[in-house]
Amino acid sequence: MKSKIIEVNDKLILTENDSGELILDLKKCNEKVDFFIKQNLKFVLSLINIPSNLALNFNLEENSNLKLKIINDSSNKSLNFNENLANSCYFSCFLVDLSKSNTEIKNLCNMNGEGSSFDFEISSLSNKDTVKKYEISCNHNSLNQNSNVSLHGVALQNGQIIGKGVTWIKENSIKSNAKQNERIILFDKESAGKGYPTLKIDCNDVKASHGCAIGSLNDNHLFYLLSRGLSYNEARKLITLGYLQSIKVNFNIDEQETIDSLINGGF
Amino acid sequence: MSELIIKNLHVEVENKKILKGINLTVKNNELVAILGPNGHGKSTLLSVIMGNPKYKVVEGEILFDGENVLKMSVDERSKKGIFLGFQNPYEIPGLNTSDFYKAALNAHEEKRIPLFKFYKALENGCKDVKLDFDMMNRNLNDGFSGGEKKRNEILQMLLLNPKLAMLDEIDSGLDVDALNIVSDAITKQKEKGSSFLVVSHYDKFLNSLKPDKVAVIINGRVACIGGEEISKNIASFGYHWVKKTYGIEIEKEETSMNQVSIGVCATKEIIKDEK
Ligand SMILES: Nc1ncnc2c1ncn2[C@@H]1O[C@H](COP(=O)(O)OP(=O)(O)OP(=O)(O)O)[C@@H](O)[C@H]1O
Ligand SMILES: [Mg+2]
Repeated sequence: MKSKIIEVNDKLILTENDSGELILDLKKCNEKVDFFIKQNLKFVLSLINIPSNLALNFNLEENSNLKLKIINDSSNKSLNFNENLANSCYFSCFLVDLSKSNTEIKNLCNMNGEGSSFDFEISSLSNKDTVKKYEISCNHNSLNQNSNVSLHGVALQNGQIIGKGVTWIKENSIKSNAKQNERIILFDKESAGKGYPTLKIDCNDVKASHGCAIGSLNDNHLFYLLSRGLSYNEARKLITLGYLQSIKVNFNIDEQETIDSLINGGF
Repeated sequence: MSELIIKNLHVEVENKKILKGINLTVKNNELVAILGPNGHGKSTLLSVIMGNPKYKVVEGEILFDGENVLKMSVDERSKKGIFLGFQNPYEIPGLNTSDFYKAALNAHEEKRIPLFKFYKALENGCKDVKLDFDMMNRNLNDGFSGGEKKRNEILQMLLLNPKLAMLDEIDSGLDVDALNIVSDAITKQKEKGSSFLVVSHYDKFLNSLKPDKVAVIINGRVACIGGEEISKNIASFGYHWVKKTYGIEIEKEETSMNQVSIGVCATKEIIKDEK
């Protein structure tokens, strides 16, 4: 099944007629674009030709489900994402950022409705002096909400990755579940990574976890691969590639191939 | 031909002495079984032979086919024909299993292996260890069950066809059928000429392999070495048998894991007494 391509200007209302997987071409967008997802609908959107500066606002009506897929492979980007989720919504975004230029991405999700979920996962490669900044925040504003923020980064050749973001579980958001996870591999001494995942919890009955690991490769993993005869460089490359590629399951076959070739080209 | 000789091996980790003078030889095509209480250095020994940089060799020698193993990098050791099946195989996120095996096999060959030949070998290997071929498309050990991980280690052994295979508790977590699959695979590999160092706590498994020698590691040393009677006696009487027969005190405080294994042996003793 071929995905339908839609050109977007400043606003897009998604209705039953657009069901399924869509490719949204954003090259004509200017500054800001608003998306509206009608209730009970489910969409998978691939965003392409995203301009350098753009604010993207997503409004999800009750019981809707939106999955975004972004493969960033070109030009500097400064993007601002905003989401508003009504009851029982599910918003997810999978961002593979393999561009050889700077990136700054901010996200703020307001989960307003009960039982809604937010999932933002990033796989990022920063090489040759690029700086990649991500600030992914979300507010749990009501009961029974789930959030997951994950960043897998690899920095090499003077690359820099900075992950921030606040997950804030507000007072009345009982039975919420929040996860934040940042893992950045520094491939060489020149590269840098920083992670500041922050959890603010104003409510008792919640589950929350956050972790941040920045450093070189896992020694055990390395030993395992070396013990099978792979050279140090090969083993290091395979582990790192795997680490970036684990997001791939969220993409279709064609996109997976694109991701593979971009990652391989980045080393 | 292959021969592994370990002479007076002393090993430390984080300034803690773990191996305190191991002497052991594995002759060509021999299968040496290693037993010993928990925490006495069995996995450490295998890891050091493979070259895990975590462990510091402070004294002693390891020779493989007359060459100094301690001077070789980990991958060189693998290319010389040494293989380690891990007690707890690692899950590697995002690393496709069959891609990894391709890379590993190619690392062992002068020329790249033709793809069809690789897939044939992989398919046959999967059949031998009864792993679903589809699993090769998953990430390495990612979400594999305990038993699947162990069979996946055996698969790697079959593919790499090592001169010396060291298997660390390869039997733990395996069901009866899987146990037979693994022991058959080991027997076949031995017929191909490989030597073995097999660590296990389970005498029935070890005996099914018909070991040429049984060595017991206690306090970081080889406490005794002999034939199958050693594993049988330990299975029946616990490590107290070693203590009684060889006059060796087991230095360690018994950890809870230790009590579990001795508990099993003690139960057996009680049953025997009742008879
Ligand atoms: N990386 C490490 N850091 C600190 N201590 C270690 C490390 N590796 C091993 N040890 C310690 O060395 C001792 C020997 O461990 P080893 O894993 O070799 O035991 P084992 O005989 O294989 O036990 P088991 O039967 O439980 O597998 C233990 O006390 C263990 O805690
Ligand atoms: Mg062990």
